[in-house]
Amino acid sequence: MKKLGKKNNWAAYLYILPLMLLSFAVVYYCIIRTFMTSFTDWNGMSPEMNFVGMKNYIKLFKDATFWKSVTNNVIFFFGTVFVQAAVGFFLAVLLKKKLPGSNLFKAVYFMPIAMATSIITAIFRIIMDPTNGALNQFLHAIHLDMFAVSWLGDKRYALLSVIIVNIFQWMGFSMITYYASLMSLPDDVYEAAKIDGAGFWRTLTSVTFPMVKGTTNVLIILGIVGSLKTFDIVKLLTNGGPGRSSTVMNVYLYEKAFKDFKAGEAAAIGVSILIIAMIMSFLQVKFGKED
Amino acid sequence: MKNFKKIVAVMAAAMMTVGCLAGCGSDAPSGETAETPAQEAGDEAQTEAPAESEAGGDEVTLTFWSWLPTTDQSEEMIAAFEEANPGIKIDYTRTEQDDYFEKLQVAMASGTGPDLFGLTTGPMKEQYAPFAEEMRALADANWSGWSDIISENAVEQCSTEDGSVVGMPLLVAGMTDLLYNKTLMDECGIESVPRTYEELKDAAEKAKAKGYVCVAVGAADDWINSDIFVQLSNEFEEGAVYEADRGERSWTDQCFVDTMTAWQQMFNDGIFEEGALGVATYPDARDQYFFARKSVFFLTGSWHLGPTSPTNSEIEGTEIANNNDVIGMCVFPSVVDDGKICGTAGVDVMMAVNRDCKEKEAAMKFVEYMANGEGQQYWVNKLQGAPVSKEISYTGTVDGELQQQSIDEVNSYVSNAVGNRKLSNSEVETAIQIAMQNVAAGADPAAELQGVQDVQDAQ
Repeated sequence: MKKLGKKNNWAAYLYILPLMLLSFAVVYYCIIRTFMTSFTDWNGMSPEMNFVGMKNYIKLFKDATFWKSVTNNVIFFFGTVFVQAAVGFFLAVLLKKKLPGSNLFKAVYFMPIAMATSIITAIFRIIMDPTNGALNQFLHAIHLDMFAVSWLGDKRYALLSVIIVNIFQWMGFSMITYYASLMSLPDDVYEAAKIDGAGFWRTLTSVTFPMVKGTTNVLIILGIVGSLKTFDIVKLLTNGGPGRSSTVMNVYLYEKAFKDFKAGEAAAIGVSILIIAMIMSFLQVKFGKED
Repeated sequence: MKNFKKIVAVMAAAMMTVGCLAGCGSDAPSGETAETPAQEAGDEAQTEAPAESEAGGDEVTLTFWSWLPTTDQSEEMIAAFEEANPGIKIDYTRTEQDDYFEKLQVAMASGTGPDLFGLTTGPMKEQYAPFAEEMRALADANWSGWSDIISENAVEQCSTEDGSVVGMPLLVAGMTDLLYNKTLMDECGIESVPRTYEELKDAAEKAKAKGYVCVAVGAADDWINSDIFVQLSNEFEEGAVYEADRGERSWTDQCFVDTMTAWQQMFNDGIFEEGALGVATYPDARDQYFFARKSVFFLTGSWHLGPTSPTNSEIEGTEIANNNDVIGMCVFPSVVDDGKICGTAGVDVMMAVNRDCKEKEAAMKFVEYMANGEGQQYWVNKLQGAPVSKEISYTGTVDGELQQQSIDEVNSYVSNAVGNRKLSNSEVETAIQIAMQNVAAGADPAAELQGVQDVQDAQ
């Protein structure tokens, strides 16, 4: 194949120019503006905006609520990403077996992704109501009273409830991604494993899982970014409470921007989220490659 | 062929690039100075009304955003206004309160705010003051004698620290009240509405024995936590909360510790539903508990007097309506030993006129209609709140003795309120809301109040 000569490079650049301009206008410009705003005392509305140096960052790093929200984000990340990936992987493996009704189950598991978060959270608020909710009534009915807790109103369970709802909503995405990946795996590898005497679990752990490592890496990176972006599900389910028990960084950012009229501090939180996302994605890519 | 492909590719790329740039460009004709996006957007909003005026002769269209009036109320109120003022049309956009605050903030920042907008007192009025026309001057110019008609106290609450009036008050509402289901009270053997904390505890035991929740409260909501704190703290020491808000005393003072301890005690004594910290006032506590006949009482404010009427549209189709339950409203019982009740009340909603509004005279006609005209009368008759106009009082029909009693009790509570429902310091108010939730979950009141004080000290 003939290599593209240096003098023909400009044509390649022209191909990507529209996208670059669009990206700059809607993404990078906003990031730069947010970065600049984080050094100001802007209230989110006023044309007045004064430079305050590192004040917002210093205040943020001394703020216990910010660190609590970071901790909650980390818990949320570990609680969702790996469980979602694991559940999605097993579902994909089962669905690949072409069992009766597998297409129906594929649709059922995928359906929550197509539903608006506001609808899912509204339903779960009713289901998880400690007195009238279906979940606790079901637990009482099967004599598991000890598990019938105040899902959203108890500081010990609020974040767990958010994680459960998030897994319900997104496990279908992991499932469909793994399923697409599994469908592209060659059959002869499985035949060879079978000849070598590998059973279901051995094949799963030594053949299937290593061969979809790329998909797992992609899901983890998307999970890192997704968990750092988490806002709607928390805001609508618990509003970050009780107290600060389920406050994540974006909920705190929102509170600073829209409730306290401290857009400068909110921007500093936004920049912190971006930096954390970049570091975690970089580490995942680096260690993913080394594996 | 190779060259042809290259030419097509270059042309396609160039066209897309031009397309993108065109989208970002200004509409200003050549030779005119391009304006910033915010200015441009603002001007579009400003010129919208005159453009519609041209199309419809002398007709003026005013955009109005708020969370109140409700959709049902607005249809009747605006139709009556437009009929009385043929040249003015009101384009009303109603949004739920929390969403409304975000929507308004973004619109104001980008210069695309409405001509008229609803505001609350507290921190909000200070932030929006630069965007609102000074109401005192505007009213002096367009509405003679207004200051004799509108409650001075209500106007005061709509004023900033420097004394400028941000908006015209429209309704006054008080905290804290209890909607009660008299039918369920009878069923549980609760003979009368509780007036003391001991009576409330007794009611809770009786309700529980019959399988009902005593008081449904939406303690997941931020606003209800701070409203309750402000109201209860006044019972322990009148006015102390406002002094602390101004930084004149410490949040760790004994009266505040007592307030939070009393709040915690209510949870410990089973006054509220299980998991109340995860329940929102609207719709959860109202619909899933009180309207669903699962609770005997519902903690709310004076704006919720409407359901005391059996014909109220809010309760249509609910369990309490299906069972023909009798509903009343009373004030929340005193939590102090001497039984003193100190209510708090405040302007629930005020209406501001955007500085960019081109039709201020027309806007003031609508403001007057809502604050003193048929609009105010309609609202007051809907029991949405107490009037701000001295010339308006409730003239609606009264469905029986209980409703009359409820209206009298709640209105007396509002008019004798000892202070405002809201604090002026947003970050401190948020800290109190979090502390109230933590205390309800079992945290130490004194330690939580130290956290509130730390927030104030860090400012």
